[in-house]
Amino acid sequence: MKKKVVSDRRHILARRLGFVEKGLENRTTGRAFPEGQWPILGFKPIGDFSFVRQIEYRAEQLGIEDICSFDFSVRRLYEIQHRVVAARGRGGLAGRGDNQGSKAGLAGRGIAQGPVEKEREPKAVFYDAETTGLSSGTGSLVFLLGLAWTDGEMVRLEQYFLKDFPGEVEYLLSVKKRLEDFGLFVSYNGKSFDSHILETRFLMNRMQYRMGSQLDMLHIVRRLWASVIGSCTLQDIEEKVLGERRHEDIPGYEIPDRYFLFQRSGDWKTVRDVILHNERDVLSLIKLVHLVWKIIDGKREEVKRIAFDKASFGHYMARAGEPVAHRYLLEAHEAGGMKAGKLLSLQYKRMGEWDKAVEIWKTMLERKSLFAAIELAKYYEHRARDYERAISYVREVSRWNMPADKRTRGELVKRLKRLERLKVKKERPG
Amino acid sequence: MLDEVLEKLKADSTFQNNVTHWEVIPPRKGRYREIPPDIDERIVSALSEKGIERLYTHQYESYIRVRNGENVVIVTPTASGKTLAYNLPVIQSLLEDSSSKAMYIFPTKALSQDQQAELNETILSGNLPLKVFTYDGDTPTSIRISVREEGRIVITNPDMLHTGILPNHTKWIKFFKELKYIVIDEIHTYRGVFGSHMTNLIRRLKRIASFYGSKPQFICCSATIGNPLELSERLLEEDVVLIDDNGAPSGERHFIFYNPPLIDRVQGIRRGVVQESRRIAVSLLEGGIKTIVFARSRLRTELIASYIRESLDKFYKRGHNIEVASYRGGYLPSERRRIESGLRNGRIRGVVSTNALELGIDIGGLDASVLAGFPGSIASAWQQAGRAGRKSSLSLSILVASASPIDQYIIMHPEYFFAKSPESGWVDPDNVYILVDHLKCAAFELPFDKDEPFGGPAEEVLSYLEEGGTVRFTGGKWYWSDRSYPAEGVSLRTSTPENIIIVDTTEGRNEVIGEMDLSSSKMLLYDGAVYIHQGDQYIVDRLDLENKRCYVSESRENYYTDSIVKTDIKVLEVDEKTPACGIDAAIGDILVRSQATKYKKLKYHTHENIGYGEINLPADEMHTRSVVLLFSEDTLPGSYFRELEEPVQALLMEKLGNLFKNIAPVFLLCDPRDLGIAERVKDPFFASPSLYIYDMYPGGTGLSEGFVARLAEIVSGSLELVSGCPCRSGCPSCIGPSEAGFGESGQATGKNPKAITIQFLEKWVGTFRNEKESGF
Ligand SMILES: [Zn+2]
Repeated sequence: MKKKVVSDRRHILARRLGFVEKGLENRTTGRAFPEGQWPILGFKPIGDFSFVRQIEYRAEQLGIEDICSFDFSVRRLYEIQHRVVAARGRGGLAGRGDNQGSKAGLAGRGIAQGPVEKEREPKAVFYDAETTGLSSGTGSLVFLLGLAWTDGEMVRLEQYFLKDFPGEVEYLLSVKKRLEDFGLFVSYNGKSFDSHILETRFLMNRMQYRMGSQLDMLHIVRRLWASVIGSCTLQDIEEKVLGERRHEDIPGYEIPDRYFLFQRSGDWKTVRDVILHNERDVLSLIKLVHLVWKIIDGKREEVKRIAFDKASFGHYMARAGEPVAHRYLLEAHEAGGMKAGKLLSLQYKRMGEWDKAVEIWKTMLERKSLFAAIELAKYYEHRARDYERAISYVREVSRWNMPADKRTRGELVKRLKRLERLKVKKERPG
Repeated sequence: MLDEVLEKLKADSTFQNNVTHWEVIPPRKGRYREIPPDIDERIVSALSEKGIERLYTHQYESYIRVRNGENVVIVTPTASGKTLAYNLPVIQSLLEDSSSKAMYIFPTKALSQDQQAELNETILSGNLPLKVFTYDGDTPTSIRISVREEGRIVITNPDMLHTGILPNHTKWIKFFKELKYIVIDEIHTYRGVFGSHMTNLIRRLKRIASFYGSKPQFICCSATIGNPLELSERLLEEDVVLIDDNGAPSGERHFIFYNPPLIDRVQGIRRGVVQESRRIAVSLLEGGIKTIVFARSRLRTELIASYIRESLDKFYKRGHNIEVASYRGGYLPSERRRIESGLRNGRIRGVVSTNALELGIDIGGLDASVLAGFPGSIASAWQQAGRAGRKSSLSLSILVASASPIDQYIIMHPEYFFAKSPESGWVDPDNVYILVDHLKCAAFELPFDKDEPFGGPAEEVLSYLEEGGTVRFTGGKWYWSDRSYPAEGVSLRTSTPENIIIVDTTEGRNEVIGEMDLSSSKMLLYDGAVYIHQGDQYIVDRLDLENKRCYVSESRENYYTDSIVKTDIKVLEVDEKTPACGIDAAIGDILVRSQATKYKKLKYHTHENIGYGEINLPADEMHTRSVVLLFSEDTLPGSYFRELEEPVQALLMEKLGNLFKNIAPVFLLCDPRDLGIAERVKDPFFASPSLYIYDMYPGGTGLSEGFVARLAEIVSGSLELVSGCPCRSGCPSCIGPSEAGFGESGQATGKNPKAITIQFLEKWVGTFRNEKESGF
């Protein structure tokens, strides 16, 4: 009787999982890892299950002419991102990055808020992790971590590879030892993904490790190119912005399965593409940082050929308080961008340059900008005290016949009533 | 006031004519204990502010037991201070040890939010240094970190625990390290397949806690249920102490069974439950009685509420002001909060609700409850009745019967209702379907050691999983080795959590007024439907399923709408056909399609049908597993079946279906609501009389396979049940009630369905019992 229940259960189990029923006895569990193959691509063992691969590039191979100014640009980019995040924080939002990568994290590691201090500069590392899962969570492991950093005239690249799960502790120890050389972590979407998974791995193995300040290029890249090229994966950027094409690349979603296949077969060839993919990602990240800096710097001829969203980028830079913002906003406004005009005029307004602001609003008014009309009405009411003109701008809006929501309509009516009252009051002597 | 109303009702002969039973449940004195001396001064003063100077005996007992390190399950009625019974020991311990934490699990989001409000407002009174947070899908990202880092009591629900917390437990290290108590309220909801999921979820939770070195203690609470101790021990897989000696006082309770009068004696048509409930509720409200009405559907809830408001408006002109709310799922949280607090502070005098208010949401004391129709189970009926009644005063519950056979049975047989103990709950955590799903999740959360158990031994399932490549055994451990996030693919509940957002677009507005789950929306929010929300009437302009939006605008039609839903079953694939108990049983995949194709326009008040409309929406489809019992002619039971006249065949099939639904859960350790039944005397697919018993969880949970494996027991058990049942011609406990007046007026078949069923079952059981005896 008992036996029957067990076999029913097995039968259901096999069906549930889509297998032909087999006896448990014949099943091969815990297959030994196939031995006898030497790793490829120059990987060297650093433990029973972990390997490392080291490559050097001359900086100019990656298009970097001056290592010093490149290092400087990485830190400047970090500052910019940091100031934008902090500005957002003041707006009421606070996220993980805000209290991690902010003041304390930075100052402690030697980047001051203002000009970059020459001494005690944190060393930046570019990183990218390949994981066994497509989402985060405790069941995703990092099996390949690519790191790159500048060293003299060279860029050094290291890739840490984990051969099988039981080696994770020794793997993480070696990774940690290397990561402790650095204080600024540059990635593409690593702030919310790679770094989380890596930190989770340490916790799962009862170790403590937290990465330091994060410079995640995804955010600024989205400002620059999302409206131009749409999807902004690192591959899209490479192809459409850096103008490079990967020939034998493996799509990201296939990476976990390649690794599982490697674990089952022990055949290094199955992960060869993954390793090259990772190397490529890290190098592209370096080139990307270099390019974005050139755009911010704005001096070079070659940058002018690159299309990007000047309004959105200008806005981003404005939030970081970067003077370059002004230039890009102006260019975007002149090209007819309403959003840029709005931001630019608000900048002028803040600086008290009313003439310039009014000029922009008037240009925008021709394109039926409700924002501009209200700003003009406000300007003539509060600053010029020319109520008649103020009224004329509010009236202008009503002639456009635009579908405004209830609240806006209410506000306009209120404003008009007030202005008319003021006008009468002003006209009445005494 | 209520005593006057009761006197009036007693004297009212028209009312009395319709009363089939008037039960008076005597008052109970409260039994008290002193507040234990070790309780923190701050708690004592907070209690004192609320006027609590002593504890009820059950609160005292639960305090002592919990502080003694025991797991407990507290089962006492609504309004008996259950919340305090579990909060007291938890808060005391949390104050003593400033690092320890507690997790509270409620079955729904609405209940969690309500609990948080209650904890903050009443229990803690703002004086105790304990941070209480709710962590669910609605928790803003910006505060999630502080919940994890600072929360001393975190309130959540099973779904969030399953997909959010456990798979990301490293974010909760601080919390899990110091996790001391887990409170699980409303454990009676965790029965059947949902309960089996819950047990596995608790296994996972304990596993993670133990990874961080903690071993939390459990405190469960339950509403009335037949076997609370057994159910909680199965859920927790630990020893539990039952605390059910209620020390709270209760006033005298009157429970009236009311059958609406016949308006057509010949056809046996009675006055409708909606109008009768309205009439009764209005007279109670006019008498100053705080009243709750329970309706059986969302539509009825809104209808009854609207009618009550209309009637009271006439009354209001005479100088009174009585606010009546409706309450159901789908309201915005702020609206729900407003109604709940309105009921607590007395601003709202009456409420009409679906079973949403049956669970523990705090709405303060009410004097009367009107059950507009029997809610389907004895436990629910008591729960709903229990919503009326305060500690010392008189209370009243009135059950108003609808025309359905079960309502009519209950109303005519009050002794059945009062003698029957509430339904029991079963779980089967080792159901392979469910176990496999949770083992995947558990392996994702933490690798399994070689001999590590999960409930029972886990190796068998893990080795199957390894063959499929989702886990990998290496270095003495099973590791998750798949790119997916398994919890995402495992739903703990039958329905998808997807909701339609209802947007009011009247006069260019664009305002969200409510929401509704996807499958109900196809039955209630089709284009042209009248949607009633808190008495405001809207018409559906467009249901946009793709974007999960429903656009409505205000309307003033004189009708409401009700859809006509057709359900059919399509066999997709038959996996196997095995002889069982003398017949053939097929197991396979089926598609259950429910589709609303038309709707009726029904005039308010008279409910007269004044027109139809078309509905063009895709059917609601569920792909699931079914067992089909085939009574084909070439089998012995099939031939007995064929001997019956056709209408009798149909009747018998229906009765067998009811019977199996009642008895199979006992053998399959599921809940009746986990099983769907469909009977076809002429089945186009199998070409023989067929009885489908299918799994209500999409994809199935192995109930069909289990049904076949235990068919002999189920059939013999059915015979035993029905022949031992004291009823005359069928009742809700056995084959289901028959139409009123069966046998006398010679309705339908003219035969006693119970006798037919017994005869058939005796013959059927005979076929396979004989086989056994003849040495099979
Ligand atoms: Zn019966």
